Amino acid sequence: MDSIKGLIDLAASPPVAFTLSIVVFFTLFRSRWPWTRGGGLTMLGVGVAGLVFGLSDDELRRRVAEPDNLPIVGLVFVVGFFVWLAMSKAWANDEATERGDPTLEESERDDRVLTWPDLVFVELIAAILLTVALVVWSLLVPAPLEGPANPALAPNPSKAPWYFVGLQELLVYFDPWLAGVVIPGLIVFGLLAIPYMDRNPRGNGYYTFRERRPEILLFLFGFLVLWCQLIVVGTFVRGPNWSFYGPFESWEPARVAGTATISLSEALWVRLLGVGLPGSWLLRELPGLLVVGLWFVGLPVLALRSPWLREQRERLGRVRFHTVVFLVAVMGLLPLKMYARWLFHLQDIVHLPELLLSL
Amino acid sequence: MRRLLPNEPERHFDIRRLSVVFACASLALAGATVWIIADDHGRDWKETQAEFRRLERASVEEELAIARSRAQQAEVASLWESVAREETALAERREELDEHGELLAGLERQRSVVVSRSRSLGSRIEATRARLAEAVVDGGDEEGLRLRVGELEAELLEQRKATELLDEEIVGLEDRIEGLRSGLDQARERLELATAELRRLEARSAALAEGTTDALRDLPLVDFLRPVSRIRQVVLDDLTTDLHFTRAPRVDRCATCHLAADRPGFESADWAEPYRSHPRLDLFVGAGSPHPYERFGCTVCHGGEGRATEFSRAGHSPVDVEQEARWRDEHDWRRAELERPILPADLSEAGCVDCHQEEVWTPASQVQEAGRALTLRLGCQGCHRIDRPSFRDRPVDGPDLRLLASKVDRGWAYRYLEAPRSFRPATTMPSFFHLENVEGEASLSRQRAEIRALVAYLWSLAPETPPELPAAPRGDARRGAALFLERGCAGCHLAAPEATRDDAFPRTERLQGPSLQGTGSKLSPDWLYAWLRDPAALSPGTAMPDPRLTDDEAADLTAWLATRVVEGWAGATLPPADEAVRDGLLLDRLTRSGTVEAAVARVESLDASEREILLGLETVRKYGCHGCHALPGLEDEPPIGSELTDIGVKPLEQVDFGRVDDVPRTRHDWLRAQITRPRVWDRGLATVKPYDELLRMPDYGLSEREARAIVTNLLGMTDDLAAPGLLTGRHELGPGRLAIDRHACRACHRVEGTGPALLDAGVEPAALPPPLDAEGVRVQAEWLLGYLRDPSAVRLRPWLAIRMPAFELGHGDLDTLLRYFMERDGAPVFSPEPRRPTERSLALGRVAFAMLQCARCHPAGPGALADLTLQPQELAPSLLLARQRLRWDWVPAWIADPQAFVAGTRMPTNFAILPDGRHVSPLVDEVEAPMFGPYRALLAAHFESEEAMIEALGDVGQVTVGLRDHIWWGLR
Repeated sequence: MDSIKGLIDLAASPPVAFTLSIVVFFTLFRSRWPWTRGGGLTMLGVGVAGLVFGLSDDELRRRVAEPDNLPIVGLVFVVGFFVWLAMSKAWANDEATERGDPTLEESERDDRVLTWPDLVFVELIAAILLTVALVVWSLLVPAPLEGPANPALAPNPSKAPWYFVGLQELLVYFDPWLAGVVIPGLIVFGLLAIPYMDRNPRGNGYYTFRERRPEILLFLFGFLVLWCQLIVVGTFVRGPNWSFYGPFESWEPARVAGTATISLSEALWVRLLGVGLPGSWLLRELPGLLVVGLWFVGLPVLALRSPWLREQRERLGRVRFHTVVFLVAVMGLLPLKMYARWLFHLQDIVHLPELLLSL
Repeated sequence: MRRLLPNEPERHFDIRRLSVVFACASLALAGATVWIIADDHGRDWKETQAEFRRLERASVEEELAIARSRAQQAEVASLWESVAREETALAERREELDEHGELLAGLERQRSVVVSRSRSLGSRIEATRARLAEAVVDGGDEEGLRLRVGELEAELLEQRKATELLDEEIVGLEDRIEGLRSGLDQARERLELATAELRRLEARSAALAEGTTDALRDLPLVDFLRPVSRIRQVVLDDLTTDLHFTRAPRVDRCATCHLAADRPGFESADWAEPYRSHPRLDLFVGAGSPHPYERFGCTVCHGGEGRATEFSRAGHSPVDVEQEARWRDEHDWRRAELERPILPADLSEAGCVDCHQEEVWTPASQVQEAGRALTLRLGCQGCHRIDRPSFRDRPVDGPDLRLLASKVDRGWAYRYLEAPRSFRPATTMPSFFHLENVEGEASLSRQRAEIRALVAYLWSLAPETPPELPAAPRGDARRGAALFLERGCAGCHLAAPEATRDDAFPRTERLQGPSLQGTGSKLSPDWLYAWLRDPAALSPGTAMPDPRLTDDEAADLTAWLATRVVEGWAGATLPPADEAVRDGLLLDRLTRSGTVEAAVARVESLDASEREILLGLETVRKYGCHGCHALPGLEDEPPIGSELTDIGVKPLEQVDFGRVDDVPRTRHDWLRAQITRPRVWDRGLATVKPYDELLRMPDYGLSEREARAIVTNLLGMTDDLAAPGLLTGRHELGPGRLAIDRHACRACHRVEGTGPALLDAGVEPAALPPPLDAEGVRVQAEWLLGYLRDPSAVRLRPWLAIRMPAFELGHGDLDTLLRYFMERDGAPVFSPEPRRPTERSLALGRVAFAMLQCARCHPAGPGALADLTLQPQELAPSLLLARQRLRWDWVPAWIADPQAFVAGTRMPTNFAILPDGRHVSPLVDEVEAPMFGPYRALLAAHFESEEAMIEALGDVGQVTVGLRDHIWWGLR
């Protein structure tokens, strides 16, 4: 039992877990089976078994059963269910289309019912049941109130409300100005922009995966891997001193905060070349700026050699296309910086305290 | 699919079934709503209150049954009978009584008529006077009005006379009626007295009886009107709680469950918490106590969340694991995350500290008081800043280590530093070395090097020329052993070979001096002798006073002390030096404060012994030896430990439990572990941390109760602010009490009811020095000053074997002590000049002095002692000293009632005190006796008559003043 827990703790270490989650993500979305009833039940079974196994451990049970963390446990299952539901319908439709049959939605197109009572009544019942559920939840799990807050004493770890834990996680990898202002702004901006960027008319009014593969994968990668996963990680895997703790590892004694990190300029000029940092910041940060430039400009230009992307550019138009590319590049910065940090202790690609700008 | 009726539109859902689902959902919602109300309404404290009502009712019923059965017993029954008898007797005279009654009623009526008429006359007089005044000013029938006023006044006079007559008659009649009824009234009164308890219980039983509407009154939604179960709270505006952003009035709701805490009568074992009376209602919570519930509540002393009414949330803390297990079982107990949870019952005296610390002594909280004294004695303030009255600006008071080289040899010092308690279990010197966080040869060799270096450093402090010690004369060890007790050494020193510090607990006076275990294995007789002769000559500023021993006594004590040896300590030697380890440690320490190059150069410039001495100095700095011992050059070093001023509220988050999991996560458990196992937090790190970063707090070898006392005192040190208006203690006495502790006055004297420690050491009460009760009002300040400076100038009680030692008191100490005695007893510093007495007073005093045989116990004259055949315990100070020593204005009061000043004094109470507080002079009774003859002759000249003389003899004021005058002016 302990060796299994040890293995899970090992797998929960950030580089392994993150890599695994990317692999799992793409594996799941490449195959058909997970989105069948059997696949869904299997995934549910794995989730429930994992939960039960986790609850058998005192350390993890304390973390999972904490009133603050219950919504996160719910989130895992609820998000999983709705993704599965949409995907299973999409696959079914795609297969029907392939056979030449109408999609589920098409076959129902001529069925009409009245708003009242068919819709409103059901909604009313749902609202009542949800209210009952919330009331019972609040009665069974009292609010985790503590003593008066002491401004001189921050709890360790100090965690944001669950819906912000993902953003809090960004603070580890990015300059606060980026993590707290720019990136959240871009996320909001990106979500607002989706209807204007997405010119693919397919999937309108019916579930489909095949006809919208890039759109769906791009969105779900950001939502599941980069957003939901960070919330789960921040809630269950981050402990005192904001260090990583395996799900079964004790938080006591607290792990000493992470190792010293370096910036790209220091790695290059000091560690590699051994010549010390150049006096001029432009020269000093030139390598970093080059990397960033390459990331935002060079890569898209290179990528445009692919005929598919050129086709997309034609379809979307230049402005739309480059906006999407920019947003995707920003999104891609997160895994890039995570790996850089975990593998090379590299914190900043561009380290420019002179301009209050670091990336 | 159900078949559709012709006009029915098509439905996606079956509406009937949906309606059923809707109904079920609605029922569930209704159920949830009921659940909310039930959950909100059903509180544990309501059950607790109901249980208490039930228990109290049962207890009252029980008492009532006993009282009722008692009411049927013979005496009460006879009272009932006598009431009945009187009633029949009265019934026989019913007619007479009724007649009187009627008559009285008639008279009352007449009186009311007269009174009413008088009242109207009065107002008419007023009105007529007003008209007269108008007439005088504006003109009118002045004459007529004057006449009218006169008439009216005459009439009023008549009425008044009539009223008075009636009143007289009424009173007479009432007396007669009362006379008739008196037998019955008295019988009833006696009966009532005998059954008062019964009626009280009946009333209480009726008050407690469950009303038919009680259940209704507690129902949800109506329970705001007048519920039976209700929160009992007290709002304390003066005692705030710190919410960090603001301070809010304290609200204590503890009495919601602790229903009997402020009521007497619930002390017996029948009552379990939360239904018990507070165990010290005379001091706490009780209405007449200094800390009434309405003004102080509970949490200000006990801690905890006063607003909470749920067991765990209130912050109850178990004393031990058994209680914890029981609470988990009975109350579903969890540890509340409070900054100040309720103190476990055995540490609750911590609550006294914040308000009473300025007073220094808190006799009612013995454990906390012992903790404070121990903290001081063990010298915690040497390494930890403690900004509190008892600990502020304490001079270092460990032994002067410059003398060490002339006292012991290096081998002894090495072994002692290694393990002080193996030499003396009672020593206050803690162990620094070879504790639990030292593992492995590398660390052990470093420790050896450190101890060696310390020894070398201490020897480097020795003066160039060692003190000259005269050879000790031979003494008698047996006599010395007796002297140890007789001369009062036992007041400050423990001596039994197996003594531990616990033998002095809870008082610490007997730890004032070092334990005298093993003196023979440590010190040479010559050194001991020289020290006993004059400690300050060897070590200026030592706390040891000059014991004022004769040469013979010193020799005897020396001989006895030299016999006290510890096996195996003779000829201890230093281990060989390990140069590599020594130089390594030295380099480590030097590089911490300077460059590596400089450190290497410094080490290389030194020879082996200089390196050792330098390492010794650095080791002193590391372990903070200068916290307790005055060491040259280190006087201004900052304390090495963390500050303890507010340790009682130190957040648990800032406390390191390391990898120790057998210490519960509470402040008091952490503190207890910290002081009893100071290196425990290094568990698992002993070979991981760099050597110099291992924990270095020493081990004091604290016993369980010492640890409890110290933790109690530490926990009390919080940042709570008490409202100044609530602080009524005698803060001005604090400095004096500290000075008394510093000089261990209570080793030999009783001060404010505590001490002397000699009593614990086994000294006979008769051989003890006098208590210092009322010292301030008793002696003249100048005399006290002189005596404290040089007690050898006068032998006040020559029969006492114990002598007042000569203390080296500075101006500050003398001032503090004098001020303490004067302020404590409310005496002015300067006593009034004696006034020349009258001849009459002198004569009266002389006669009284002879008649009361004062000279029997108070030897008058230097040779007087030899003539007396009295036992020492019957002797009293010479009255020849009174003039210089005592306060002239105080002596008469003292003679009149000595016990009022010094409880238990042997001075007899010559003037009996009547219950009303008056004193009675016994001299009057003697006037008729034949032996009074010569006294009469003496007094006759000063009194005009025999009666005047007897009156004077009977007047305690005159007699005591006379006695005083005789002592002052007659005993020359």
